[in-house]
Amino acid sequence: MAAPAIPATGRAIEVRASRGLWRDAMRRLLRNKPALLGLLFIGIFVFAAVFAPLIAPYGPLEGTLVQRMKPPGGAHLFGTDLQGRDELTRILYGAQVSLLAGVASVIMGLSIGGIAGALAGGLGGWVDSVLMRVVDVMLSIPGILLAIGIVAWLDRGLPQIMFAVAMTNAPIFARILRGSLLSLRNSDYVTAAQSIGAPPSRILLRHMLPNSLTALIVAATLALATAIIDVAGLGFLGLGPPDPRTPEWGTMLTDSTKFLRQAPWLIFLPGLAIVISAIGFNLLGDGLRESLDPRLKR
Amino acid sequence: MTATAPVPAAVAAPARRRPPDNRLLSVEDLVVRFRTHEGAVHAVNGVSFELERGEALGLVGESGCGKSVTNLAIMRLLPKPAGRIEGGRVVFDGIDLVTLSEADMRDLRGKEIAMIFQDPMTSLNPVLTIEEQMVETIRAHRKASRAEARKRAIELLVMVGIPRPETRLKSYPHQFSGGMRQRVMIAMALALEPKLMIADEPTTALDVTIQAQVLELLRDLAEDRDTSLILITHDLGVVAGMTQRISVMYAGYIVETATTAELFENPSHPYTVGLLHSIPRLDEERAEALLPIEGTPPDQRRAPRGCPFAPRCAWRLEECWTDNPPLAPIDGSGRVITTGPDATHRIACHNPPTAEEAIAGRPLREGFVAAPPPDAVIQELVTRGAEEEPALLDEVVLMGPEGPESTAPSAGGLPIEPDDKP
Amino acid sequence: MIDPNLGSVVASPTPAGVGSNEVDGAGRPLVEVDRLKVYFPITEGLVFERHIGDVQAVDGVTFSLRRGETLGLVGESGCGKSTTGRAIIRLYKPTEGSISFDGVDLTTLSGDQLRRMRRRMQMIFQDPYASLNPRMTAGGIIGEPLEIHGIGSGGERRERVRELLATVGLNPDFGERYPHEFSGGQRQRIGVARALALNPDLIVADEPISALDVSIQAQIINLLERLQGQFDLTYLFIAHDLSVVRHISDRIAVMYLGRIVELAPSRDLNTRPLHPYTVALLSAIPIPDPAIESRRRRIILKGDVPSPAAPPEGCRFHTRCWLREKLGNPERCVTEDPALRLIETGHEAACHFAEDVAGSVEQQQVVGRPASRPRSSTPVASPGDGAAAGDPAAVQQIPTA
Repeated sequence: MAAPAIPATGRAIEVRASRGLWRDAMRRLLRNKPALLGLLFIGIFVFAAVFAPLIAPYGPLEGTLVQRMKPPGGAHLFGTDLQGRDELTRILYGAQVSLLAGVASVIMGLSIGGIAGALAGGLGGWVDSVLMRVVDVMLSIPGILLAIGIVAWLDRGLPQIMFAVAMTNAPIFARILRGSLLSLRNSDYVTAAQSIGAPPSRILLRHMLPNSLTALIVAATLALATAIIDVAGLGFLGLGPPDPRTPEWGTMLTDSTKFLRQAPWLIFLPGLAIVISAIGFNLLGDGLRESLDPRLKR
Repeated sequence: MTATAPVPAAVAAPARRRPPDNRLLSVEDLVVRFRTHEGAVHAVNGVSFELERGEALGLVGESGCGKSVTNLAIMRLLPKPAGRIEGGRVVFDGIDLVTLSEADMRDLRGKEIAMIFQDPMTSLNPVLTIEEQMVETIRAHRKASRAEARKRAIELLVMVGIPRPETRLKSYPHQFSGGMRQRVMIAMALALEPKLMIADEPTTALDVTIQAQVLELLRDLAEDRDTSLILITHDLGVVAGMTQRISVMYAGYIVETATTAELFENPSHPYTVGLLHSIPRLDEERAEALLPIEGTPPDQRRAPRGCPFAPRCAWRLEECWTDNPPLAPIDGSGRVITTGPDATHRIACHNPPTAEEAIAGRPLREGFVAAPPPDAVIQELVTRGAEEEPALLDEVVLMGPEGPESTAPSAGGLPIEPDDKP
Repeated sequence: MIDPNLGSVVASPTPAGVGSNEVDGAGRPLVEVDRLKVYFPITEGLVFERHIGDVQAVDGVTFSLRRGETLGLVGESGCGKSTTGRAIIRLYKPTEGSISFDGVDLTTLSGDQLRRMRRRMQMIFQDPYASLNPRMTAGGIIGEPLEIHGIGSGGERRERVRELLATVGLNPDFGERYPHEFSGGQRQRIGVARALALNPDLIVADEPISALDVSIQAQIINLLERLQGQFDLTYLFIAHDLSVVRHISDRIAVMYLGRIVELAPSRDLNTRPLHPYTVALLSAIPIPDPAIESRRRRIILKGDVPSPAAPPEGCRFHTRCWLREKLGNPERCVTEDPALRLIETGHEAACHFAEDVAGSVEQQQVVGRPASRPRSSTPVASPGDGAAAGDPAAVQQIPTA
């Protein structure tokens, strides 16, 4: 019934297929140089975390006090720490802890915040008012302070750290999702969906949430950066994993501050690792913000 | 610098009928491009026009035709770093604005050339009162005490018809309605008695009765003083009552230029003819069927090739696809007057509609069929279009020689019964 | 369309049938709106909201829509025209009054009943960029109404989407593309196709062309006109541009501050406006002809439209009315709210002094039509109306260029 497009010359022309939104976004992301740099940093970080056991020259706990505080070079590329363990090895293993804690806490925060935000933005009314006042209170407490409180309350441990960091992120996600849903509620295409008789659940799932997703993806990427810093921060404040031998960047920083003059590389390397991974996620987040919005491309 | 008022004789071209010092602005072969991630956008592709002192020129066209960009280029306010003047000259009162230093240009803006925007809210500072903004503007360019400047501000507000100006001076921009804000904007534009005023869609954001108020004001002001006016709009109705000359722009080119009376009496470019037939007129006896221009404006990320209007044109010849016609007098004579009431009617067209065809809005010649794109053009569109410009390709591909809908609504290949209103 | 003005010399204005006039034997109107009010509460407070007033967006509007006709609803921003349209398809709940659609009172419906009625009325939106979900394909958008109402199998729906795309002048293969891959005009066609999907009786078109480029507007107007004939549609065409509304509409209702101030066959409204606001509105629209522009009489209204949260007492237009000024500011305009009343055949106006508008120079010169041009029918003066008796003379006075 539908004839193919016949050009004026009478020759049929292949109509270009749609590229699809995700492929389109990916194409734009790959053109974004800062985002590519971010991807490179994240790639190094993830590679280190995943392949630490294979590429690390030593075991994370392996070392003798005789070898302590060896400067970079020789058998230990980045030197050794206070207990004589290979610094590079511990940095690589530390990536495992940071990545695990960061990702887990963001997923947790995203779930808690997402549900709260969807309820507030989707239902409105008193539910919205109450949830948002809770969010206001949580946001009024500095994130690291909130995390310290939660860890102090729940005792030390990696799951507790993840939960604590998740709770600092959750209100941010809740607010972003709610704001996005509220603005979408008055958008023309939601009105259009109402006018064709779409039930509220369908409007929320088909029209509102998919369009809020980009904002959440961007926020989650940026939150990964802060989560890594927060986890390190807790470690730095002595609230890291209960086993003091666990290679964790924040704890490594604290341990080495006392020997800043004798072994500066011990503070430089974990710091660099934290900064590179955080910058990586920040750059990627900004790049995603630009490339995910189909409306930006005109 | 700008105090060098008399135009050096060398600037004015010889053998011009009018005295050279009567010419205020001349834009010569202006080319503006935007650099984006997606490649260069060919916004203005060699536009030339001139303006006399006291003359009102209308620049008409659709969004993206380059009318606003042309004027931002004159003001040197192109968005940086993407927008760049890539060629041509803009001579204002004997000074080449393209090469002028940024400091001198800043001095010129507001004082010699003022601009009125579509949305006054974006050009008024929301955190300063009108008084602060007006007094600051006046004192930035004139030696005046605060009290003198304030007195002048009140005079200006009276002139643009703002009631209770003394109290209104203390207001912030958001406390004015849209129409009143536009009046304030005009008052600020007039503050330094500029030689040239550029109004970019000054009434588009306003309701029609408020539009009438603002246009009336602009008309009165233009008559009272010898400020030149460039009025940029998409609305042919607005320029009809406001300007002495009109240039119609399409895809970064001027495609037709004439005195206002001549342009409406004898529209000669297919695009102008199309525009006039695609808007319903209030004064028609009975609603006549509209004859739309088919297709969509070209994607300007593509370097122009051929006549930019060819894909949508009912009069196109084969050469229109490959050869872009220059702006030339319709009577074929060589003599060109660029300004004033005797300005030459010029169009850029290989196959202009006749007077009868212009009235009918479509070609009347026996057996005439708009030329299909030559194979080379199709090939080019297919290879590039697949990645970069689906819209243009679709338009060309979908449009039969007679256009998809106006005469034979064979929408996308599906025959549909023609059905005209009786 | 039958020109309702042909041979319409009426003995006396019939007060009966105000609002739902023009009974032409076609049976019951498709839509009857009766004293519709839509108020939006203004509230204060963060958790506990306090009601401090109302925006009277629509305040007592009565009109009807006959099957197959196009009723134009014009007015400036904030006059309540969009709210009226949205209330009819029940996007807003009316505060007061009734809307009956094919005999069923919509204001009492809810849930499934309302959803079933919605199949019969659809809407076209102003902004083709905002009204399509950017994360759905064109085919998904057009097919969604079918999906929601459970019409057809997947394959049948896909076929219907292809057919709809072709109907609105798009390539049927474009269904897989996303909105951002289309131009503004093409997107508006997608919006039209979505509205057509369920074969509705009524389409509310809310400023369907005002966001489009001039050269594209006519494409959409022609498309809407063609579809009306093809599918027997009734349109409520909402716009601010009287020249466009006049082109497409059979009758026009002019709104000002939540009220209909004039309702007339579109031709009559243009040639013989009877409300001073309509006269001003018409005179404010620029005509693309410098000769006509130079000889038109333009009525410049003073000031801005008052806030719909606090509309003026009496006639809502009295604060800006040129006629009131001309008549020496009669008190009646301030004290008494004029009702919409039938003044000529099928021509209603809400003005105490509508008879003074008839035949005035302001009315005659509003579109600057030259007297020399032949007129298919001279303005019809109602014989019962003394003020309008001098009409032909007034026509002669129009200055020629």
